[in-house]
Amino acid sequence: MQRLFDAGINTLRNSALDSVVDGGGRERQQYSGDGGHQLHAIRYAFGETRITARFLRTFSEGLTKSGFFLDCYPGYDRLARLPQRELESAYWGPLLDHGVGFVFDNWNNYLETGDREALREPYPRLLKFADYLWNLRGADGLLPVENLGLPNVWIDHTAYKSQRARQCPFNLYAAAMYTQALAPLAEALGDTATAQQARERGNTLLKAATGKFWSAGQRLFIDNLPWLSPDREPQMSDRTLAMSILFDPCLGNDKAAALTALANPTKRWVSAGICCLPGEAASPCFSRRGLGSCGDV
Amino acid sequence: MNCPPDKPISCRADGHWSNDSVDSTAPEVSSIRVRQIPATRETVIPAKGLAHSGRVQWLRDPADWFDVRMEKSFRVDETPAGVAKGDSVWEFPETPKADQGVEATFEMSEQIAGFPRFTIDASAGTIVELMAQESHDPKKTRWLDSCFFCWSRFICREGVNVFVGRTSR
Repeated sequence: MQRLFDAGINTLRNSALDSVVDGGGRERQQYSGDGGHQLHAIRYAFGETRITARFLRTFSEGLTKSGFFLDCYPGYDRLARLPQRELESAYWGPLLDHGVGFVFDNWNNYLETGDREALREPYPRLLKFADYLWNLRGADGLLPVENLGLPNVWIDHTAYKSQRARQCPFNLYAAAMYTQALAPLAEALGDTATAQQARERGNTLLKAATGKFWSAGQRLFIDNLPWLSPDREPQMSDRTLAMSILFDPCLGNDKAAALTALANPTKRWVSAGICCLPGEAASPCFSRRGLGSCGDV
Repeated sequence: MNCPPDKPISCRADGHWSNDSVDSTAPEVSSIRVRQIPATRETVIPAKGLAHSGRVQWLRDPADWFDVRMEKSFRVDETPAGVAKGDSVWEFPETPKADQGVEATFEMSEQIAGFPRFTIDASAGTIVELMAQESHDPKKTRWLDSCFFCWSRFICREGVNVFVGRTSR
């Protein structure tokens, strides 16, 4: 066990030099989403808050004029992806879900340090991103996950059999971003109007997501509920289930079915959540946090 | 120099260092920042040792392997080829023919991030292909070819050469 912890500490030392990257040997890019969870360990294990504050500032500088964040910045890769996405020659583009994660990164940093100065530069950029996201909503009131142009929605490598199945987790995630990250952040900075607006937006998104993906019979969010057919089984994912527990989106706050499903994986839900890098373990992290919040880990 | 004192040199309005305007940045979005975290301490960490070595018989142009990983490009004679000659010094046999080579894998004491470096005394034109990786399982790959197929090529002058990789590994 000690060897495992030593390796973890050494990995963090290698991945957090002047920025907090997803690995010192491979991509060496500063991701939110894939790598943002390292910030918790850096603060807790090392008591180091300078580099986490630097993460917030430098990542936020990757805000595009359109309003979305480059999901890894500073880093060469996503800069190169912009023209590739424009020419439709690459799948990977700026991931909107990592922008959502970045709002949580800011809130968590404030929650654990009380450092308002670290928010000074990122905060206006978070607001621009929040507006950008809100204006993406489609006729169904939900954020789309297809035909987004330059950016893309990822959520997980292999958990979803289709791109549209990512709409449920993405909207649950974004709804929680508004209500449980941006709203308290705005309140902490005395921006009550933004806090109220963020809560309204989050609740509106959640209502739309519930209408489309909540199964009243199973008391669960089903990723492919709108497209079920006799030969198509309901699909669940650990990411959706974990967020159902962590962010309280379930109707009546009834988490029991989500917890049972998350703790008892079946062939109906999968998640790869590859862990070849210090980062890039987003869905398993959500899963463990979800179970842990209920005392199951 | 026509550049505000609180702006980086890329904002200068007169002749840019490259004698071109393509590298200039807009002053309104440019600033000079105070360093937020201390500079990284850089130290030279010697290899823990030579994990193994052997002779390589190239069956086709080595470039086919290093450029596109062409299968069946070589055979390896796993008889140790390196001879220790002191602290962190090894001697490897000459490879006078174009189809001859030597492979050597060095082990570090722990996983580290940095710029690989080495000193070699070799004949002019000797080519060293270097790969720094992690998670090596000798049962799966003979040499350190565990993740990204990513080599750095160094071509020697006659005599002692000191090489430092330009890319952090």
